[in-house]
This record gives sequence, structure tokens and C-alpha cells, in this order.
Amino acid sequence: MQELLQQLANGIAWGSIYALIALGYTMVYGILRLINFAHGDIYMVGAFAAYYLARLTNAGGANPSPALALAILLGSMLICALLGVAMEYFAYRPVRKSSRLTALITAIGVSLFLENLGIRLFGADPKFFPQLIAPRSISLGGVMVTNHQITVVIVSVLLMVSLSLFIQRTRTGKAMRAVSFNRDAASLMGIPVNRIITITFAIGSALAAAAGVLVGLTNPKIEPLMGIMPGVKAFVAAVLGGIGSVPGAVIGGLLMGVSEYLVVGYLSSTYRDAIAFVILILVLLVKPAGLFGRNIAEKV
Amino acid sequence: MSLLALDELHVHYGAIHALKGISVRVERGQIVALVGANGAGKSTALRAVSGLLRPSGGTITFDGKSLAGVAPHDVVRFGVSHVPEGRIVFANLTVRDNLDLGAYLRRDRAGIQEDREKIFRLFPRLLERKNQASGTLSGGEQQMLAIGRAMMARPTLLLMDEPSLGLAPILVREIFSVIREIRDRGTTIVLVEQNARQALAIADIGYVLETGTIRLCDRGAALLDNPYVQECYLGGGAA
Repeated sequence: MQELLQQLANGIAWGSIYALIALGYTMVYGILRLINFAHGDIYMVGAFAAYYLARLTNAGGANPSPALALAILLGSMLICALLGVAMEYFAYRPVRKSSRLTALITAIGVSLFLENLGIRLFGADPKFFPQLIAPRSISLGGVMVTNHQITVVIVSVLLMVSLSLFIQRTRTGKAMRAVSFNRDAASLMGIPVNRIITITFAIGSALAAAAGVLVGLTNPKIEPLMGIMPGVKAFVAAVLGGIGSVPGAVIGGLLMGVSEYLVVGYLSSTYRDAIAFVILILVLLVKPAGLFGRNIAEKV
Repeated sequence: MSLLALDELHVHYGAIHALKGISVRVERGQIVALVGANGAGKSTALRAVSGLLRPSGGTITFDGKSLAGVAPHDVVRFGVSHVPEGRIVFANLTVRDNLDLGAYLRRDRAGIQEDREKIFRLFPRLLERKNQASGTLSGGEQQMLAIGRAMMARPTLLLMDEPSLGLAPILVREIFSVIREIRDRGTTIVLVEQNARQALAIADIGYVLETGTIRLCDRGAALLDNPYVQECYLGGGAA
């Protein structure tokens, strides 16, 4: 029982990171019907942006400051938001009227570009992510968790709740949902569709950056190809939850994280990465629309 | 000066020449009907006015300003709203959110509130369902919502594409009486319809489109009496 709770705790912390990445996949898919394969690489850039911001500000020294850590998190999110906007403008917008396959191949190209640019700029060898918050272990009824894991969960939950409120309540959030439903009809309302798409990329990329910073906190080894596997797994999480669905991405991410840790705890860590693909195959066989897949009745 | 003037308007879809130089005049306070068969170019004309299509030639002048090549979300700012064919309500949003999006460009909360209430008075069924996802509405209710949503922008000119399509006869009558009411409250209307009889009956001016050109233009009532229109568009019978 203890063992199970321990793996669940680890899985939830890890799954929160998948959930943050999956949100970006699902938002961009919802609005452009595009699988942005470069999304995992944005997460990598987020981790590196925080790494360099931390070095610049001498964070992670002997006396880590939570305020500085927060500033670094926000700085990295801002950098990636701009990167996401640039990516949409330069790579995806020119091919938006082409076939979806063209856009998909473009996304793979952007992904390879960011990975190799990362190797060129940051170097291929892993970097040690600074300790932005002094590590501490806490025992919760026998389950050992670190304050880093707790931070990951709290920050993720805050971001997810804010995102959800933004999408449900604000004028721009409603406009995003309208654009995702039908671009032409949205433009007839006076909604500037291009600007809404830009905002979507900015938010999705900022969330990926947050995931990158949080992962640096818990797994402090970062390298330019670190985005590939989590990118794929977060994609599976988005599909599991029902791509296009925001709550689906969160649930999918958590399920992915938990199932990974259950595999590690009860089978073998060798199969840790395999579980993602097992889940993907099962979802596609049993419920291709995912858990929260959209099946809206459209009457004509 | 006409509120809306299309002059020698051409639109191409790739190699297809969908509009071959049509000229249309719409005066303030009128209902102008564009009738014709499928593929005659009626919707194309509306989509060119609202910016969804870029004309390949000719001019679109609204209230003295050129609309040709203006992006759809900017056309709304000019005071032109478009109720699209097939209604296209945002099925994933509530009735209320749909109406609020219709007022996307407006910032006057009080005015928006007032207009929302007006729409609910015009369509009481929308009020009953205001917190429901609009995808759950019936076809007639969705049409009412689409009209209400467009009216939330307080347009000077309302473009309506096939508002009666697929509706039961009783709803068709209701929609047409609403169209007249909207006009009586001061909004000019361009109505695209396959239901020529109903459309011409409420129209001040009617245009008959055939394969991208204007075949006839006259007062609505005169077109109803026109033997050619009766033969081709009104089933050959007496009205």
C-alpha cells in the first residue's frame, strides 16, 4: 500500500509536467488542427532559457530565493511564448492554406531545426540545472515527497486553473473557442483570427516552458534532445484525453505519469517508455476520440 | 448614395468564374433579395461583401467606403454583419456566449446587455436556453441564435444567407416575419434565398441570379408577377 501511494505521488508530480506540455498540443490542435511536433522542443528551450537566466542572475547558489525562482520561471515562459509566436508566424502561417500533411511535415522540420539549433547553441552534452529551490524531503504519512515535487504540482495546478478560467470566462478565451469551432464564422463576429492563433501559440508555448523549468527542478539534467520523449508522451497524453480537449489533456497527462510510475514500481523501469505507446495503441483501438473527445451534436 | 453598391463584381474560385460582373444597389431601409438556383452565385456575392472572398474585379462600396479586399473581421467594424449559410453557431459555447461573441468588437457593457435583452424578447426560446450549449438547439433555434448573434454587433447592414434552409414551414414563416421586423427597426437587409416566393414577398427589390450574372432586377412584388420568374422559380403556378 505504502509502495503504491509512493508511486502514485511520484506519478502525479511527473504527470503534471506531461499535462502542461499536453495542454499546448491540444490547444494548437484545437485551433489549427495541427499536431505541433516542435512542441516538445519548446519545452527543451524553456529549460535552457531558465538555465541561462539562472546563470545570469546567479540563482541557485548557496541561498536560493523563491522570488528569483519565480522570476526565472516567468522569464522562461515569456521567452518561449515569443518563440512560439515566431514559430507560428514564420513556419506555420505560410503553409496554413496548404494540406494538413504539409503543415505536419513543417512541424517535424521545425522540431529538427530547434533540436539541432539547441545542440549548436547549448552544446550536445548535458547541463546541470541549478537548484532554484533548496531541496527538502517531506514525509506525508510514510510517503516521501520532495518539496520540488510539491512545487511542480502546485505550479501546474495554478497554471491549469488559470488557463481554464481564461478559456471559459474571458472574451479572448471565448474567441479562441469560437475560432477553434469555425474560423470563418469567428471572423464574421469581428474576431481577428490571426491574432487569436498567435495568442494560442504564445500560451501553449509558455506552458511548455513552465514544464521545462519544473522538470529542471526535479530532474536537473538538461540537454538539447530532452524534449523528444516527453514531447511524444505528452502527445499521447493529449490523444488519450481527447485531442482538442483542455481537461482531457490534464487528465491524460496525469494518467500517463501515474502509469509510467506504476510500470517502474511493479514491472521494470525498462518498460517505462513503452507504456506510452501501449496506451496510444489501446486508445486508438478502443476509443480513438479519447476520453473527452469531442462529439458535439451538430444539427443542420 | 446607395448604402451598398456592387459594381461589375467578379469573383473566381480558382478557374471557376463564379460571379461575372454583377452590379447591385441596396438603399437604406430596404430588404433586397438575391434569388436563384444553387450555384447561381448568391452566396458568393455575400461572402465577397463580408470579406470571406476576395473579388477578382469590380468594386464593393459600403456607405461611400470601399470594402473590396477588407478582412472579414474589419468589415464588421464598418457595420456589416453576415449570418452565414448553415447558421454556424458555435456549438461548443452557450447561447449567451454566442450572443456575446456577436458583440465582440463592442465595449459598451450596458448597450450589450440591452441588446441581449432585445434579442431575448425577439426570440423568447433563446432566453429559455441561454445557458445551454448551442449545439443542442434545434435547427430553427440555431437560426434564431445566428440572427441574434449577428444583430449583437448593431449592424447597419445585415447579410443573410439562406435563413430558411431546412426549416419547417411554420418556422420559415416565423423567420421571415423576424426579418421584416429587423428591417422595420432600421437595419437594411440583403437576403439570399432559394425560397424565392417568401423572399420576394418581403423584398423591396429582388435580383434573380443565374450562373454568376443578373438575369432580372425589379421590385419584389413585380418579380412575383413576372411570368419568367413564375415559370422558373415559383413552380410555374399562380402565387
